[in-house]
Amino acid sequence: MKICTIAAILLGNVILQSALLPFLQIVGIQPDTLLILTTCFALLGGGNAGMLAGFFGGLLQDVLYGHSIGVNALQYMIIGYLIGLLYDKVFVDKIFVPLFVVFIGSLLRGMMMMLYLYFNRAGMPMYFGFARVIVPEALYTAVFMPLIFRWMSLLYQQRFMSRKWHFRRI
Amino acid sequence: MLPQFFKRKPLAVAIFLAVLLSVLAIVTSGQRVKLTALEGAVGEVVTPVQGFMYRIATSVSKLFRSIGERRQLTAKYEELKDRVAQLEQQQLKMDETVRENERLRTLLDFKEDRDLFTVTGVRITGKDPGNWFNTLTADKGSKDGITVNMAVVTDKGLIGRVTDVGSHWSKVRTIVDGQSSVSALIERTRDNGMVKGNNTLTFEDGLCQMINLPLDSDVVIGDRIITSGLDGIFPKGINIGEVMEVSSEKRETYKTAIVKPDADFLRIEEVLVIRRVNE
Repeated sequence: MKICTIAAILLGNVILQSALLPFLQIVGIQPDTLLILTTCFALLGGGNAGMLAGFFGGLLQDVLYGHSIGVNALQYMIIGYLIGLLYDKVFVDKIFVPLFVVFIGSLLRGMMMMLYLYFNRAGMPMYFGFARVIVPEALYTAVFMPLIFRWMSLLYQQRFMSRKWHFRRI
Repeated sequence: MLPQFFKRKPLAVAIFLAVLLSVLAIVTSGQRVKLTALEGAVGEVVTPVQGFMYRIATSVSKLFRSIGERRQLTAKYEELKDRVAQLEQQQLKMDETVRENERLRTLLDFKEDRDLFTVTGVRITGKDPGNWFNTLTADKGSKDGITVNMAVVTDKGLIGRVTDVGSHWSKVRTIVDGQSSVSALIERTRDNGMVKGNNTLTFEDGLCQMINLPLDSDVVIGDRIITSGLDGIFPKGINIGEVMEVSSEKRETYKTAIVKPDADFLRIEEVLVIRRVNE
């Protein structure tokens, strides 16, 4: 049940992100909702949940849009893992904390993307990347954070979600 | 076994997955003729739903745009009337030239040299969700005759080329993507060059650049740019866009022009997939 819910959320996200969000662009930038979801899963469900959500969400993007499989998956997975380290260590009741975390996460992902593009000979000047893409994207993403985080906290109050991540022992 | 390991040593699992993904990224980064079955299947499921959502979103965005446009209609009307008169005159001249051309062509026994061939029309179903790439997905694939490296165009001009195909869906890389390059020439001066996507320019205004223009080229602002067909991928003579700015820096052995593509990459709906006749 839990896994199905997470899978449905990730699948729904990739569809909305590619079909709907391009029309909500401000100065050519759209919010990164997968990063928001990865952050939510990591803060509410722990590092493993965040890591796996990032892994599968990113993989879905790679398969549907990327040319080389694994680029997005790797980045989101790393971010999910890192944010998961904060699980149970920070208070997420005040919305300011997740907001700050997602902002930093977005900056981090932007930097990883710059690195990837640089090695693919499609790089751009550092200052330009930050001023024109990374920082605006992080801000726009942070704006969407409270709403989605609220929904995700409600989801995590459901009984089937509150069970800890668990595999059957063989 | 493994699950317990996963619980106790998440870092090890993370590192393992990271290495796996890096290898996968390297392996899949080359040219691929067909997607793997798994990739194809994901697309089959997602593309139709996505296409539906995309169509709703475009129509809503169109509605908002049309409200704004209604205000400027009268001014636009006057402008267009003048333009029609102008064009009618041009048309007359053109007709004359075409007839002359036909006559000369039969005289020379010239073979009609149209190397464009439409494979199929496709509908765009979605855009790359991030802010870093410019790729699209379309709702037809290898079952409709689409193969990798076919050109994608609209009535306005070149959009890009197909990079991956599933059986009922495909991925398109647009010409403003940072990893795209197209052999092109300037229609007036016949100078050859390369139209390359450039992330910096794309963010400015959806522009791209034409590099490797010869230093003695007298390209000016407003010149039309078309494909040259020299890359063996795009057919010759497809409209790309017009020159916005020309720069030639000292020490550089080539000129560079900034190009505004004619196609509107923000609002693409239906496009044509074309191939060269000789393939």
